[in-house]
Amino acid sequence: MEIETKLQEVFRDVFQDETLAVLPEMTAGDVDKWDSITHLIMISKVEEVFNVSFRLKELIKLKNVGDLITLLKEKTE
Amino acid sequence: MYTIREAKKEDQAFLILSIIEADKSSTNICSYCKLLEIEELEFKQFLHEIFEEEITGFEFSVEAFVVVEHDGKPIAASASWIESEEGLPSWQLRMVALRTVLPAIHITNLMGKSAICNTINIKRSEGTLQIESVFISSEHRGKELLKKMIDFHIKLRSNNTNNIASMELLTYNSNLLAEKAYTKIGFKKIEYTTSSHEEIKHFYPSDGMTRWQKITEHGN
Repeated sequence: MEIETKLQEVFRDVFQDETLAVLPEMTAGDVDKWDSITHLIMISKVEEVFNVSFRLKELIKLKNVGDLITLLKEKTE
Repeated sequence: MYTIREAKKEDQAFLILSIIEADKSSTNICSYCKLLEIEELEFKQFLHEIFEEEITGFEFSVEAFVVVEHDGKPIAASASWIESEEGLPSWQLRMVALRTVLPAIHITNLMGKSAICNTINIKRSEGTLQIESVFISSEHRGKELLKKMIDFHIKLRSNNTNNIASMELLTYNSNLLAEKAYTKIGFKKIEYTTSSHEEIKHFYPSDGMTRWQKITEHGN
């Protein structure tokens, strides 16, 4: 399954929105239930689903979903 | 004799104490500990680990703090940063920092608490100087140390291209000492929340928060 598709499943689960479509330019301000706690849970779920571990210095560079997809590609390919 | 200076690595334990005491706001409720279901000692250890990463833009960092010394010992501290200066808002920095040190069980403990937190939380304004984690030892209060620290923060975060136009801070509504102190030095209330969630006082020192603002000479 493509990274974008798997990531969309995680986002729909964490942010409780079955219609949510993941877009590269998307940020927390674009999603209703994307707050501090769901952000933490989302990162945790992404690590679990993709079987990766993020370092803090990687996470602070993620400005939008596109950056997260790029990082996931680097870590999984 | 009081001396104000930028914080150093050796101050780390005192800075972490300041973060927790400011969060507790003269109560015995540490919101981070309650939400994560951990003891204060454990939370302190997580903060030590985050401080080691030397990330800037929020209060979990030595770089954010100034310290007041009396007779060579730290007796007050406070943090500042320009909100979202490097892209990410401070709330996201806080969460990703916690993610990298917290065991999975503590993340699980947060499930379902989002609805409670959202009844009280207030967003900070991008580009403003944020003042946070202000702690002054009780025996040194009433000496104008708050004003001195804030003036120091303004100088510290200003440069040739960035004059501070506006400062903001958040307090719990029940913290009347803070309310009095910030009013005295010119801060004004601009937003507040009051939660009616029945569990709010289990997780937070108060049932609401206030956002305060002060416009500086460069913001007029």
